[in-house]
Amino acid sequence: MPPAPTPPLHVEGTLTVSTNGAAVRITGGPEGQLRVEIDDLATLQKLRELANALPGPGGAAGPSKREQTRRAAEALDRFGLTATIVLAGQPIATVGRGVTAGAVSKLMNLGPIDISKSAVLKLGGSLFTN
Amino acid sequence: MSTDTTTWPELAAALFDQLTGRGAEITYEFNDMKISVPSKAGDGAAHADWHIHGTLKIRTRAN
Repeated sequence: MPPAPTPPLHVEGTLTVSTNGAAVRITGGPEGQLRVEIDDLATLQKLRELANALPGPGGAAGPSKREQTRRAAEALDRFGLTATIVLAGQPIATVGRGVTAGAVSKLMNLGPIDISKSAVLKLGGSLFTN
Repeated sequence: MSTDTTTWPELAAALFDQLTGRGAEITYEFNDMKISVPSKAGDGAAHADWHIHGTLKIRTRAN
């Protein structure tokens, strides 16, 4: 029997996660909205490097960026949440409930994440590396 | 809860599945919590120190 549908969640408050001088702030908003704020491009790249270095189950290599994105989108959708990633004050991507792949995501085969044009300008070729 | 859980996101999802069906509200309150995350299992792993600070309250929207 399939699992019962999960009711949509409401998240409020702010959490700051930081390491080695890089910080990300997660803030809950109305209607399942999450805001994930990163101060600058250097911080984003540092966080990506750290995330890529995390081991997977049993010490195996961690999942690829595409797999991480797919899992995040799936988990957010499951709980009725939508996350907007904000870099240096500007939204660069949206993922989660109700979000479909934008042109950039389709090109990169990233799944249901909408990456803004400003993200492409800011991140350039680093978007296409694993 | 599934016994097949192998990752933190899966564990969180399983936990919410259990709790939200009962109308629970979960408050995560971190006061400068520090976690030393190893780069790999076993000896010789490098560690990254992660800090978590703040409060998140999570509940079902139907509540």
